[in-house]
Amino acid sequence: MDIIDLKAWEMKEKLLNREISSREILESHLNRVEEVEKDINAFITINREKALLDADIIDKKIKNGEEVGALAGIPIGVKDNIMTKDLRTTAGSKILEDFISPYDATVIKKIKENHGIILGKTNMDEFSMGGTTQSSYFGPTKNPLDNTKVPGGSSGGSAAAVKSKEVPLSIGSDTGGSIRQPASYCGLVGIKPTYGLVSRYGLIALSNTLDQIGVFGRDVQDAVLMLNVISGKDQRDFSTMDSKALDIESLEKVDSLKGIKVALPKEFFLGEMDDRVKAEMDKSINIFKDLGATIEEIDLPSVKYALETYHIITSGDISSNMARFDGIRYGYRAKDYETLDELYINSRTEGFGEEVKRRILFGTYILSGHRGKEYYDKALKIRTKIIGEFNNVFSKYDIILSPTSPNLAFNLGEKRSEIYSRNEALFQMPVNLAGLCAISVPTGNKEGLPVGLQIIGDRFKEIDIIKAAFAYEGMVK
Amino acid sequence: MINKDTVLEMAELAKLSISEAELDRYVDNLNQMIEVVDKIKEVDTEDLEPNYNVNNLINPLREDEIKESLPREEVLKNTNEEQYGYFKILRVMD
Repeated sequence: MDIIDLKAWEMKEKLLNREISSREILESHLNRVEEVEKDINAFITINREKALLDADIIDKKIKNGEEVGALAGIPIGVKDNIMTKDLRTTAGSKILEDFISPYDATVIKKIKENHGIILGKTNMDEFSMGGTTQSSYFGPTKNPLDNTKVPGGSSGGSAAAVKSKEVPLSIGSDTGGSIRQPASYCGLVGIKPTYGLVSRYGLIALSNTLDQIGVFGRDVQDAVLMLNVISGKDQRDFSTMDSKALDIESLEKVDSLKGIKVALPKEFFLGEMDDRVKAEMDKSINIFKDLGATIEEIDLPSVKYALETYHIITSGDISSNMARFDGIRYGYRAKDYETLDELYINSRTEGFGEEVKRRILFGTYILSGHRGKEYYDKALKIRTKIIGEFNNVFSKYDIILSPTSPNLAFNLGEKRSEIYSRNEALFQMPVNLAGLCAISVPTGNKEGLPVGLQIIGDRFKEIDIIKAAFAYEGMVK
Repeated sequence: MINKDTVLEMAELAKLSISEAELDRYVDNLNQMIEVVDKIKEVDTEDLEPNYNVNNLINPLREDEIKESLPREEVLKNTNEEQYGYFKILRVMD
């Protein structure tokens, strides 16, 4: 038995049965990191020494017969835009290259309380601005299935780390698809929870009303194990709401979706789609029918404006959120400056990458003067329209099915067309704009690059998408 | 159309410096981005209210109690310069 081949829930079972120790689990993963990291570059920082200490503490607890938490002994990868006390948090940027988090994000606090072990911080597009993990200051991450391909992004490091078995579980963040798309490109389960299910305290903000922390796992059960730990109301993030833990044990037995009403939005199938994605989607629809679900086509006419709405809202938020990086309190400070203004300008100019600057400039432009009303306010109104259309669908249906992405993982360094990005945005961004939950599950294809099936649910109806994902996974395994 | 002057004006507002060599590229990029988002102009939003929060949260208030905060040394540990327990910046007034 090779420990790294086990699912997280299997590791925990064997740990509790004293078949393996926490140190053995961690060491086998650290060895794996040594072995593959030079090819994959999934991590920016490895938390080796502290993780080994943590593992020994857990072994001691088990030896003494003490209670251990839900993630006991499980090595976890954390996207590098989430604060981890006394450990570096860079957001994939030169401007935070030497930044040591002074506190733990709420999700990290919860992981630690549940005895999960932070193995390291994963690579990402700079400040999450991108969908390929190539805009990182720390170099691109490669897709473990084919290292000439991108892993997707922006949480590409978190996806690649789980796929390459450097960790069994990881967390990422999803503002417009940044968990689901890499999950799809790497053949993993990825969950973007409802806005408000998981605390964002300690997450470096990209776009405040769209950002949500979520999880990656190698199967649905693993992803749910992790999601259960990090969910819940937090005094430090007032957008969080009370939520009930998902009953994993009962979910394992889901093998029928009788009575479940599935909606297929026509708008999702108008654009270009990779042939393999199309074929896998057709098969998936038949699987849902076989499971007893009823499937109907529906309209979501305003999702065709999701890309524009998303870009306006995020760019506006970015121009404001990025203002905090001033070279004074933390972060990179330029060597040469005469005045305070030069300190700001030189530090920011040298510290930010090109994509970040582009979005700051664009956000500043669309917010300045009369344009604030013309673009930002109008985008918020279109958002209302998109939310209304989804509310209408969820008043009649339980879940929405779509491919996670109409594309497969593409070559590193390849420039994508605007149409390509537009097609991809259509499947991912509306979910964030409406604050919904969604899961990406690998489809059944065993050869070539993976395809992800996206199951979208209403706000705080994680149970619906997870049930459907369990049943579907059971059929394609 | 966004021209070089507009980009430089935005850069000044955002405390960034754009070199002459990069300027044309940013002008092109920003014009492309504007062209994309201009599509929203065709949407009639006359009767719609802007959305500020998907969960329709009302400002949740709490008691104003003193709680533990970050220790001073933690707050200061990422700065380049500190003095007397404060962030030190350049003199801005004589």
